[in-house]
Amino acid sequence: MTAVSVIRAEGLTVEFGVRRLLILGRKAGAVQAVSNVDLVVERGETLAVVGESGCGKSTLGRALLRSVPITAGRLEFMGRDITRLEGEPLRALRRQFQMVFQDPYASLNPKMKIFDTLAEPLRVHTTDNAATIRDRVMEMMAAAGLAPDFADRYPHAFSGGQRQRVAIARAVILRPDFVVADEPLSALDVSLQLQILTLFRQLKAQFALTYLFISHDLARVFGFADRIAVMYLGKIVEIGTAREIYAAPVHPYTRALIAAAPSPDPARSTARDALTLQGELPSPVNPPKGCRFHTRCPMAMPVCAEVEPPMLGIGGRHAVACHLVTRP
Amino acid sequence: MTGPVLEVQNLSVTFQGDSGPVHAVRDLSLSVAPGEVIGIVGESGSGKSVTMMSVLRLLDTRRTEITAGRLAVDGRSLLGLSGRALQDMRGPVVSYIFQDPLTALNPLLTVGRQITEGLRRHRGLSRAEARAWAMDLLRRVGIPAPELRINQLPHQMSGGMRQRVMIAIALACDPKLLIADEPTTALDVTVQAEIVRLVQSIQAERGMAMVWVTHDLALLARLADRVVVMYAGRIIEDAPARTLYAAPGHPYTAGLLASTSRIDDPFTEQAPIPGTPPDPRVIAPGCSFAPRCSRALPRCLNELPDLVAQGQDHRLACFNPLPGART
Repeated sequence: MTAVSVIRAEGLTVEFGVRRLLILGRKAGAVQAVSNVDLVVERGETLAVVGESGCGKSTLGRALLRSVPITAGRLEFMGRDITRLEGEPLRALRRQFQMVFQDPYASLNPKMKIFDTLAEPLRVHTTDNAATIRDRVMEMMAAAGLAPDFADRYPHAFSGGQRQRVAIARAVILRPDFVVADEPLSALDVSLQLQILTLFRQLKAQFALTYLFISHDLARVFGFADRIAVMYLGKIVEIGTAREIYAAPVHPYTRALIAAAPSPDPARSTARDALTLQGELPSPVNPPKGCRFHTRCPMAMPVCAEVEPPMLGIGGRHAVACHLVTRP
Repeated sequence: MTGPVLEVQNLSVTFQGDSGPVHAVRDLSLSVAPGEVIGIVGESGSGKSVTMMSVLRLLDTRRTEITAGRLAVDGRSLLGLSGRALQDMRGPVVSYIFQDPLTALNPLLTVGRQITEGLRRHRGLSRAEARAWAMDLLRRVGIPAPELRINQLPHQMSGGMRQRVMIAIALACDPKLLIADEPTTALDVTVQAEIVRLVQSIQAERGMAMVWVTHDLALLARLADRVVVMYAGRIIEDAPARTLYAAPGHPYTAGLLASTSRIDDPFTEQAPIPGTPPDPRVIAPGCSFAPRCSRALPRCLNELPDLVAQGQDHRLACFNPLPGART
């Protein structure tokens, strides 16, 4: 394969300081929101990152866009090391990176007309004249399913679904090389979720985009993502193609997530109760030793509390970090 | 006693908004039998929460107009009841669990105090008796170390634990009807699964009736005996769960079902419902769903379809229902 990966992360770690003493402001400890993550995103693929709140999936997405400082490890974008890039070179890179956020009510400037919201990235990052900008904005609005007369209106006139279309159009208008979408569906109603997911799919086909799609909803991403990475307490615990993960999930956490997803079929929905988790997510300030999941794992063995399981390939593009695989 | 636990006839709820009246609920009739579990499903603004909140008048009465032919819980009419009389019914007769336990709980009172409040008020228990009872309840809703938790404040607990506390409070006075309004929407899926299972087991054990309000049809599949679908302030379909999921009659129900994520069949491409829900300030003369409906007939735009019985146990408001649904 000759193509260069869009993103290549090795040992990526993001730490946030925790201050305990208010007056002295001393750093009392650190939370590793993302801990030693290896990840590759290929051009043109959709990689979904799935996990529950606090697993570090949003921080991972931001770290890949250099929006939060990287504590350790290495990050490459199109083969170039950008781990410590600063200043003007980093700003220039922003044009190729875009993000879509969860809450379309908070992510759009309420004082900007839709036209200006979409035109701003072009004004900042290109030398296009006003006429070209107008054409590109109107073309983008059409692609995003927004009626032309929306251009002169303000965000407050729109519903959540329409605002999310605007936010996506703004992210895509510069034809970025890499788009991170952070829970872009979770603030929307069910019928709109599918509309927006369909829009993501159409725009990807039209503009050859590469997505990192962050979601807590595994059921929703199976049919949308090419590959899925499952995160737990700052670590990727399983990764593979959507079909590999669906057909043969290996990590007990992945299996629990699948078992917990409700299915709209009264006959089938109670059949998969066997694998449910006890307890709640441990504090990331003091993560469990060994495998971080062992405190909630229904299949934990003594070794799991002692040794952190390495990520091992198990055929195809499927890899998992679990002692059930290392010691069958 | 076989009368319904909840009877709602011709309920309408209108808010005085800044830009004119908002017709949140329009001419809604519904009844819930003792021990029955009903799911009310609809999207934001469909009126599903407002309907249930108007039962015990939990809405701001200064800006809300509630009219109904009959509104009764456990055979007692609630229309014209004083605030005091309504308060007496909150707890022993009807209890609520809401989406966000952090706003529903008092941040300044220990969870023990919040659970015992209802017990002391409605059951006249002494402080010690109420505390012992509260401890049992906390244990029943799966809270480890209740003797420690009972003295904690809500912010010292996780979201899942707080929701368990809410459930303990709601169950404290053994209500005849439990209204759960999106109680798991703010929770992670694994915690959601636990909470659903917990509420289900308590419902089965006590035989209380339950109304579960949600936007998620998938969640209701494992919970509800009967599912009521709302759109733009009206019930558009009401059917036993098995019928509704297997052969929905209303094109909106079918569209919602087709939009729901399917963990059992995630790779089949789904077709979204086009368009957006209507503005609740504008009442169209016809069916509110007609502008988005692929089966709409000319009359659907001008004439409002009544909610009528389609055979036993099935009500439908549609001039051109899906063929499978005709019973």
